[in-house]
Amino acid sequence: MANDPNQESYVRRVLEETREYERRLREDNESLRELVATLECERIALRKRVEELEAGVTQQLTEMSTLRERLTAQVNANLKSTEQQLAIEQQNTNLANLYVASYRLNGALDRAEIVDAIREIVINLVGCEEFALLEPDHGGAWKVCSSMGLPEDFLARMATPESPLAGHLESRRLHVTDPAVLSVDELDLSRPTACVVMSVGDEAVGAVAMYRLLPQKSGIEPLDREIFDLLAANAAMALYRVKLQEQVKGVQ
Amino acid sequence: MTQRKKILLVDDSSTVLMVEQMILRNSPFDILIARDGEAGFETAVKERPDLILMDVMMPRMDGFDALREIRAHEEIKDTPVIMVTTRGEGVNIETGYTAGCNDYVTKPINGSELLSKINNLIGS
Repeated sequence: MANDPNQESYVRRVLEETREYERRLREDNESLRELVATLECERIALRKRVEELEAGVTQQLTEMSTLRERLTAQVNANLKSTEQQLAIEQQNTNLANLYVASYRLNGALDRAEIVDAIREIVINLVGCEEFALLEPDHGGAWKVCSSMGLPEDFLARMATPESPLAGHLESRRLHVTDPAVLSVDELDLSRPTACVVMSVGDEAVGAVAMYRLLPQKSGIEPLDREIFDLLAANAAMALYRVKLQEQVKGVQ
Repeated sequence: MTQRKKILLVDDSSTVLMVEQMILRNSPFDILIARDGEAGFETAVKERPDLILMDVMMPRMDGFDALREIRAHEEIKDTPVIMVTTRGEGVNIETGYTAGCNDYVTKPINGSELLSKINNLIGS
């Protein structure tokens, strides 16, 4: 059977077209393979970059955390240092007050100067403008020799044996009312903020009875107690010294 | 070389003057002293201090009058003045500010508070 030329031509054309199609498919496939490889490379590179960035972020977060810890430690150290500085300044002020009180009492040459020093200490260092300075007479009875801010009838009753103050004076011990009597409280003879008895050995040479504190004072502070102790010791010695001087002058 | 700043302490109480001097002892200021308001005003005119610590209750001229004199004097009217008051009640403080004070401290003097107020007004 002879071949039909048209049919043969058709088959050849289909074969060629199929080959061409196959060739294009191979090319496309190759292109896609290359594209996939490129994309895979890019993906790997990007993944690496992401990992690097993530490591960088982690490192930065760690550094930030360390810095934050160091900053907190520094702030705490600064606070502590400031507190210490304030405490030292407060201690310096306290020492200055005690030094000045001691200096004034020991530097006083006569009774008037001692009384003046005691008054200034009570007003300016303790912060009380309602007080009386008492001294015993030869018979042992107490009398007011100087005062500030207290009414006359109050002063008249203060040194009597029936006075609530008599017990504190007789005890020869420091009496402190705690909580202290403040400016807003009522003035009460039986409630002195402090009664400092100044004595040398068994002999009482004077006493300071302090009543309401100044408005800016919220109570008795440790420094106040130290000033009371200092008054009890140094003012006592100063008054005793003057008393001896007066006795010597009397003999001469 | 810069000149050291001067602080004038005006108080009739030797105790307070000593305490103030001790508080300021380690500070970089030269200290001047006057014992009443009148002497304080005269010293301020003569010495031109950088700051004045002025007590209220004083003989001859009290702290408020001395402060008014200072504020009325052309050459020293701008000098910062800290009033040192025994009583920290509102009326006293108001009188101080009306007279022209810049700040105030109450007795017993707190060293840290005083130094802080001085530094606020004239630096250390």
